[in-house]
Parts: sequence; structure tokens; C-alpha cells
Amino acid sequence: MPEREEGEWLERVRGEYRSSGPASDASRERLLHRLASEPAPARASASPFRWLGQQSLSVQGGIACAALLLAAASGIGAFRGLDLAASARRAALAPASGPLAAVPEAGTVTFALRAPQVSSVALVGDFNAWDPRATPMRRQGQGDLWTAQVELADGLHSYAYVIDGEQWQPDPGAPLSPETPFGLRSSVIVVGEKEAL
Amino acid sequence: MTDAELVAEVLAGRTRSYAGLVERYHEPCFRFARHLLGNSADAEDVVQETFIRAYRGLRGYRERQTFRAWLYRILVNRCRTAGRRRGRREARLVSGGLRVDAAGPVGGADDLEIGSLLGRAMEGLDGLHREAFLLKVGEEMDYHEIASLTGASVPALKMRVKRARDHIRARWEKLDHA
Amino acid sequence: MRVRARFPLAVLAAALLAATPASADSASDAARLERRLDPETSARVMEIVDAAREAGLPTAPLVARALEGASQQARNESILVEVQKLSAALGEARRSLGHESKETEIVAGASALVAGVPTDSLARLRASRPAESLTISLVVLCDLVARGVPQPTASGAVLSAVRAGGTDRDLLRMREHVHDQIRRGAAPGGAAERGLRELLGRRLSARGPAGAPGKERAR
Repeated sequence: MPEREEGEWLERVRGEYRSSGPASDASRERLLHRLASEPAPARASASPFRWLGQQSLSVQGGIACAALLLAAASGIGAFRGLDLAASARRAALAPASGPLAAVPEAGTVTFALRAPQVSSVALVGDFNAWDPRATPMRRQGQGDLWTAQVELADGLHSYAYVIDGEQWQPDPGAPLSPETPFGLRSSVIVVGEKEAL
Repeated sequence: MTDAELVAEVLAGRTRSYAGLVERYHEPCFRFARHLLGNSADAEDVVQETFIRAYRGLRGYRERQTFRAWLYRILVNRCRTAGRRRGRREARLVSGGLRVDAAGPVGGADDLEIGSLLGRAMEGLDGLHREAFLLKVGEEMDYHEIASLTGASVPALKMRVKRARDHIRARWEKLDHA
Repeated sequence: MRVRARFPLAVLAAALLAATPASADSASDAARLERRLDPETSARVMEIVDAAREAGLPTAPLVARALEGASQQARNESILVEVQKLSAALGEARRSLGHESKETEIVAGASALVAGVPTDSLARLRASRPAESLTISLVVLCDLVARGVPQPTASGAVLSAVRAGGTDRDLLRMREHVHDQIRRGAAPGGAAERGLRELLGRRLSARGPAGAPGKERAR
């Protein structure tokens, strides 16, 4: 039956279409990463991809609305400009010293982050149940260096920083976790692999 | 959550909900773009652009259309632009004696398209025919949806799908038995 | 038959058994979850955790994943899906890396699998380094994938590095090198390839000319 045969062939084609080729996971991760620095659609001062923080954003008022319309009409540049402070701040985040990836032995580990123009930084990770209230970081002097110390047992630990109570930030320079189980990405630190370190 | 609900969430300020739409549609979009354009790198660029444009223009989405159709319209347009850009480049590209053509460039280590039967069977088909075939057979959209996102009429689309199918089928048989 | 006398004892015995938790760990896991999640979700997460414990798989990452979800105010369904996914990946990682593998290897391996690295790659890594820890190799692999290196390239680079005798330090250095290049605008795939070449180059020069015991270059 040519019709049945046609149907079967189309099924094969569909099967090939669906199954052939590389997985798109890494590509999707790159996209999410890129989206993380996009301003929210048509909202001037909203940070993208907040973590905790306001569910609803306050209305900005007449001037902001006009600016938004202008931004929408003229494209990217205007949006970026409106969110410049946040972008600049993100770009300036840097590891305080060499990247922290592995620590030979269990014990006290100091985490450090350079974060200019922020009011608070918290360390979250599997060692403190990812609770931002558990390990607030301390600013060193008047500068932009924030530190915290935690006791880490042997093993693989995931962690991240929470900036100003709402911006989730992996550790720049540290190994990244490839997973984003709830949409956000963390860093990894290995404790206790004495042999080759 | 439905697509429309996720969109509403994003527009209400819970921007993280966009990740839900990305989760749902990234892979089908990537798959479509890869088959249409013939390689993963271009597909990735196009899909990224698509989701970013969709995000920025999310207020323009109207519920009378399915989100998928709205998104795919952006995707199809991005693919067409990319195809045009690539067409201009490729006229000059010859790699070690092998012609790099639209259906499946003999690429580097990351390019896994070479083995795909469908990819090779689509060689020689132009963009509009591929588009129609992939949307109908691959993505299993109905003709009205395809019409709304390509701008072509239903009869024209039916004709394109048929011609594409004949082209692909003929080559498929040959390649399959090679 | 003194049934009456026995019955109360049986009841007491049963009550005692019921009161004893499966293990101290299980109870503390449950407590931590219940502090942050609603009772139903906690209970369902605990089912997954207990099953993993039965199977001899690491359970701390599962509890941690649920708490991570709670911190991010994720939906209960998402939390369960992610915990289950991780549990399955831990099992797969252990199968691919071998049952003798360390907990850290299994956890790092699970991450890699969730990120799309095939079980095959893990098995090959193990075959290339049967006696030493693969934790850092896997962490480096995960990092490369996270930064956008296409999975086959990343797997290939780490495997080649390990096969060439690359130490954990070499791998960490390769990771930094790749990261630096990407930060400066290089495409991730190319950056990984160059990172590998640099590692191989250093390994070769450390070994010295053929036949002569090469002097290890100071790092």
C-alpha cells in the first residue's frame, strides 16, 4: 500500500529529524547565560533574572514610561543605557585573588569576592543549606573586597554569592557547575583531593 | 503553567519565568534551525537571537496566536536572514577542494550533521521548501499555523511541501541503499 | 498458650521498631528538609533520598539540591523533578565510573551526565585513569561545558589531557587558560583546543627528549 508506505517513511523522517544531531543543552545554557544580562522586557530599572526580591516592581512614573517607549523604538542601546549601573557592577565582579577551585584538605576556607558598589554579599552553598542569612560576607575596610570563612569538609561543594539580597552570582573564575537546576548557576569547589595538589 | 501564563509572569516582573519558555522551546527551535541551515553553529546563533528578540518584544505577544507560532515566526525570519547572509558568504567558500554547500557543510569536529540522512536528502532544496517541509513534517504544525508564520497561502504551502517531499524522498531512497 | 501475655510484647516490639529511625543520617536529613519545605514535599524528597541510601549512593547532594530549590523558591514539582534527576544521574555515574569510585567522583560525574556528557566519556576517563581520582578531571570537564565548549570537544580535551598523563594541576591550569581565552572573546571550542595543545606541549617538554629522563619544569 503506497499510502501506508508513505506514512511509514514519514515516520522515519520524523524520527531522524527528532533524534539526529547534537544535544542542545550547552547551547541552551549559553542562551540562559546571555539572557541573564538582558533587562526585563519593557521595564527600565528592573534587574534581569532576580533571585529573591520583589515579586512586583513599583511603577516608575511618567518620565520613565516615556523613556521606555523611546527605548522600545530605538532598540538595544537605549535599554542598555537605562540599566548601565547594574551592568557595570556585574562586569566589575572579579575573584579577589587566584581562582578558588580546589583545596587540599578539609578545614577553614576563605571565600573572597571583589564587588564594587554593592550593599551586601552573602555566601550560599550546600554547606549552609543555601540560606543567604547563614553566611553574610564582610566588607574589608572601605574597599570592594568581601570575605567570609567557612568550615568545609572533604568533598565537592557547590556555592554562589547573593548580592544585595537578590542577585545570584557564581564565583567569577571558579569552576562552574554545568547544571542550572532551578535556572541559576553555581560554582564548584573541591576539598580534600590531596594527591595531585 | 501554560505558555500564556508564563508570558504573563514574565511581564509582571517575574522574569525568571522566561526560563520555562526556553526550556520548552529551545530544543525544537534548535532542531528546526539546524535542519534548515545545515549546521549547529548557525542554528545556535539564530536561536539565541530568536529568544532574545522574543524576550525583548514579549509585550507584543497576543494570546489569539499560540506562543509557539509567535516564537516560530521570529525564528523563521531569523533563519531567512541568516540564510541570506550565508548565501553571500558561501559563494566564495571552498574548503580543501570540497564545496561547502547549504545542506550540510563538511565541518569540524563538532559538526555532527554529516551523517544525517535527512540532511543529505535535503541537499539542493531551497530555503522556502525546506521551511515548509520541516514545519509540516518535522514540527507537525498545521497549514494554518504555518501560513500565519511564513506569510504564504495554504495552497502555496501545500505545493511546497509536496515538492519538497518528492525531492527528499527520491534522494533518501538512493542514500538509504547506498 | 498464653496469647494474652505475648500480644502486649509484640505490640511493644513493633512500637519500638517503628520509633527507631533507619539511621541517624536519615532523621537529620528529614529534619533539614522539613525546616524549609512543606511536609508533603519533604516526605517525597525523603523517599528519593532513602532509596538512594539503600542503593549505596551519596545522599547529601540530593538533600542539598532540594534545599537549593527551596532557597530559590522553586515550585515543589520542580524540586522533586530535579532531585529525582540527580538521583538517577548519580546511579548512572557510578555505573560508568565503577562501583569503587569515590563519592566526589560520582557527584562530579553525575553533574557531567546531567549536562549532556555521555556515559561513554565517563567510562573512557575511568579506563585512562583506573587508579587515581577523576574528581578534578570531571570538575574541569563540567566547567568547560558550562562555559560553552561543545560537549564532544570538552570531553575530547579532558580525555586527551588525562591520557597524556596530565595531572590534576595540569587540568586546573588548562581550565584557567581556557577561561581566560573565553573572557577575552575566543570561541569556547577553539579555546578548549588551544588549552589542550598548551597542556600537551608542557607535558612533552617536561618529559624531555626521547630516551632521556626529562627534568620536570618548575611550575
